[in-house]
Amino acid sequence: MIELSGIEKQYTTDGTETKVLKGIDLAVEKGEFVAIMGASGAGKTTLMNILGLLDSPSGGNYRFEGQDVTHLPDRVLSHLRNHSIGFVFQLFHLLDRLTVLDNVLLPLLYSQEYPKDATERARHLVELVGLQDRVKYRPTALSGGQQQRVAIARALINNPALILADEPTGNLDSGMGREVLGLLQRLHGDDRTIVLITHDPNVAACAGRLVQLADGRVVADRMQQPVLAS
Amino acid sequence: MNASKLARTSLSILLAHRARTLVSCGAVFIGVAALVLMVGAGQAGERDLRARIREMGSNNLAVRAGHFQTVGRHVQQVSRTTTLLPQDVELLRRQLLGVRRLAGVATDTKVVRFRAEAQALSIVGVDPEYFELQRLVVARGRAFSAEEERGLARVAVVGATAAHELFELDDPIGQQVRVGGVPFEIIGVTAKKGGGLFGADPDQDVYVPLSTLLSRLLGRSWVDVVLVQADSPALFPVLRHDIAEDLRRAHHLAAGRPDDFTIQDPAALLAAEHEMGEAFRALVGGVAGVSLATGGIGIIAVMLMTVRERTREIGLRRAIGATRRAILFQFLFEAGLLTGLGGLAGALFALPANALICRLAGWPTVWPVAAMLAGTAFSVGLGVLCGIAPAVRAARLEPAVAVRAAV
Repeated sequence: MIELSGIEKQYTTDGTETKVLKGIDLAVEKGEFVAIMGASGAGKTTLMNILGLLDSPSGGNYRFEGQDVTHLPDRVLSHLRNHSIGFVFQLFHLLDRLTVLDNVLLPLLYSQEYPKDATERARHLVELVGLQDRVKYRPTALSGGQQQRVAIARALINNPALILADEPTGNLDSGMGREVLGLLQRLHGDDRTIVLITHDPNVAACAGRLVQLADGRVVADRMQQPVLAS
Repeated sequence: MNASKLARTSLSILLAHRARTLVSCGAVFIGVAALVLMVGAGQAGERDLRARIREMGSNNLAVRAGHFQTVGRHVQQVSRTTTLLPQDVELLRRQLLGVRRLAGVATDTKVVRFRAEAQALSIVGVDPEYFELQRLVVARGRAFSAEEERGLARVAVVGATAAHELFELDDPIGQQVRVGGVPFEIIGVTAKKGGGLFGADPDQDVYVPLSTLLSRLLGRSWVDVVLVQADSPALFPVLRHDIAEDLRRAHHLAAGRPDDFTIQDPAALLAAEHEMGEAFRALVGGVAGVSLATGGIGIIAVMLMTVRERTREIGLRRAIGATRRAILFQFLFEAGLLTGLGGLAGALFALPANALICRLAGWPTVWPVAAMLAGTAFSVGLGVLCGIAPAVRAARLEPAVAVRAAV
């Protein structure tokens, strides 16, 4: 599903070169639930940007679902993000002026074809994340946990193969965080891969595999018995 | 990207920032409204001018007793003289070449009584040729003859409106009326004409033979105007010269003394009046230009601010599959929608406003629909043009950076 080999990323700021990723080799199989953990500055966010096709590596090779995606044009990358990847961000990234339902429907605006059953599909997902009685609400009227559940429903609308969750519980209290992690655990399965980025060992414990980053390198990569969040 | 969904999204964004939307639309609103008004007023004024020139005939010169000058819309009499006589009319009739018709005119206001009805009306004493010269059609009855004019006959032709007000349901022809106490027989009624020379309404006037008016009603010998219908306006310079020469000689004016008459070209006066309107319209055009330029700059500022405020949203849209082109298109669409709404509102406002102006100015009402459509289209174009820089900035944002922006 994901094959990273020798991935490097460097930034040049004011003439100074900073190497953030220093040769990452990582393979993730379809259906895995992987937590990428590391301290601040270890390169987690940069790695997630590359995994999510939001940024391109300075070196190395990235194959996604068997396709070399290291250097593709914007149109193809956008289509892959739309079709095959669902993002869950720490700050939810919901549009306040849209209802819960319209936020969930948002990725379909950029699909090649707007499906006829879009609303039905979105309602089903809102129900799946337990917010069927909040369909017409605006995000500002929801709790943090509820907002993150809406964001998860949005990530699922195109039935993507990969869900990338960047500190999904970082802005939630522990109770709500457990709810969200429980939801992610229920969602992952044979067809859906989840990659979760966190600095919190308790969150990482919910995944079946733990990859540890330090100073732009993978320093540990092991399978583990996931702790059930809820 | 789905166009109707995009329109809905853009509209919801504009509605979410109502105050900002209103302010940014304001200048475009004013600009397009001024543009449509300018075109509308221009068309109406032009049409009015053409109609009035057509009515009075573009071949006519007016020789008026005394001095006149044009101030704004109005021709003012500076001095009045009593030296323009019916003999002068005859003299000009004999002497001038290239003249089709000629008529002396004198006017005064008198009370006209018919049974218990009494109305103060303009009594216009004219030579019989006046009717053809002014294209006044006697719809019922007849006009008076040259013999009646010479014989001081007490006969009158009534304007259509005056006839209706004075006689109501009675047949005016053959009725006896008293004009300033003198009995007259109504022998004709003119067809409705509308508009008139120097603000007069020919439908409200009572026409009597010139000699009758001067001798029987006014007890004076001079006329106010001599109307000269030339074969062609090309002869005006020659005619002006000949008229001046003949009248100066007849009035025994020594060299160096000013004329005691004024020769006017009514069509030229109207055209001058219209040109003053042109200056006003140019001013309105200037207002339109400045407003639209201000609107354009405002849109650039608002859209740049919008892009800045919505950086994270742009990042999110990129993350969920929006291409650079889709982001570019969305912001151009928003800018076009913003100015388009302002322009459409301005155009819709200008239509009734223009009708009101036409009504107040006494012009025929025109509906400048083409200007309205063009104004709205132009405002959309202006928005798109001014939205280019902000939209390009939005489209160039790196998704990885934008999605984690602080705002």
